[in-house]
Amino acid sequence: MTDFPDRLDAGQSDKTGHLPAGWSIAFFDTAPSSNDLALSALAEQKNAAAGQCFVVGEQTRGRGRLGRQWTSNPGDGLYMSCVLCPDTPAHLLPSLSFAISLAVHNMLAEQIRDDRAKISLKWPNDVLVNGGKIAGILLEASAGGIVAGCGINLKNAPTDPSQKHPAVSLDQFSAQHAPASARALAFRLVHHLAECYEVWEQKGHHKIIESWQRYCAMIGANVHIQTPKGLVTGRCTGIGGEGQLILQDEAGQEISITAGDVEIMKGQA
Amino acid sequence: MASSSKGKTFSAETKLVEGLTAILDASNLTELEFETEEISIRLSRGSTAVAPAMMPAPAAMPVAPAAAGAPAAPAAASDADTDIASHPGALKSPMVGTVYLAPEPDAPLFAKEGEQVKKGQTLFIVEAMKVMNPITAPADGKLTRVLVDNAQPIEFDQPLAIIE
Repeated sequence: MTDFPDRLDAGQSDKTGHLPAGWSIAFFDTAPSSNDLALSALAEQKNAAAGQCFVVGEQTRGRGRLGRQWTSNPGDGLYMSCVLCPDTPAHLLPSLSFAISLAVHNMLAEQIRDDRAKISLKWPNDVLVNGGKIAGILLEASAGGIVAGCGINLKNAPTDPSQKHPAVSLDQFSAQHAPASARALAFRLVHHLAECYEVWEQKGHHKIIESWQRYCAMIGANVHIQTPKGLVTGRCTGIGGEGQLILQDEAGQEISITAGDVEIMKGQA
Repeated sequence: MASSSKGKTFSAETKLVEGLTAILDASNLTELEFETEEISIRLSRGSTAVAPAMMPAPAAMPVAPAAAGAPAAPAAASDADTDIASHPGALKSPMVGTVYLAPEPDAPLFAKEGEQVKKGQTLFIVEAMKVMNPITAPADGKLTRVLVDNAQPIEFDQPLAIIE
């Protein structure tokens, strides 16, 4: 397979699109994971790696949170990671989760023209369509920067009955038209990433969280959250100033969450 | 979240001290102690002013339960906590989050207490909003104490370990 043999730099274009200033895409047929490529670039080039994106046709060791495997068969998804080097205090980095997932949401909203498809966001950075997970995002900080990795299901969504929000893929919502290629979608995603990142960096994380909440499927919904220390249940009342999930439990007590797997109770996503 | 209730708690404590002072004044006692699970107050006659001795965060404060992923900040740090926080070898968290001592649930620890560590070596990962932040050793040294448990919620600037 030599579908992804090349590299495009900022300002360059090919038949599938062009890139905003300061951004580039390198395409690879296969790699352990796109995040590994981006982390290597960051380690080697430091700040000079900012804006570099890596798209991989097949990930042999795609991963999610806590080392969970992310199924990444060739052609089934868009697997892309980008290097960011924001000049911001470390405690604000987690809010980048919202900028990246908002960018993926906006890219998918541009592609999905089915009125019956409801695209929404689930804390902290999952993208859902009709309650099914279409994209997952994992950010990994390293010296001098951070890598944001996105996995978007394009076709053949993996089936795992144990998942609370079963996977869905873009082709399920593209009945009226041929879905765009992974390559074309990568270009579109870079544009949305650049836009959301600029807002996050220039106008502040509060602005991004404000926009993110407009598409959040959870506000007011009852949720179950598997935290590292146990199950927490409650009604989601909002997102805190630094991005933490705020719940109200049955006793009316406010709970703040920074890590966990969220399940939106049936019929509320 | 906790600030408004702190105000209420302080007001209630003030009233309590006033009430206890009135009891002390009306009696022949030289000393009076009042203690519950949440608060301990000792009053004594003499040259010093009435001195309420505060215990750590009252249970009634609406801070996140330990299981919920956000820790309760103590109202007053103990001497031991202060000592650790000001230790020159204290490695602190740069953010609120959940700390992991290993890269994956069943993987070996990044480093064990008593081990020599190298500058730049990852010792913990702090997760917040699905952002994984490696916490690395700032210098070569010995990891003399690990101050957190795996998957424990942590606060900004909370000491995670001592490296000497």
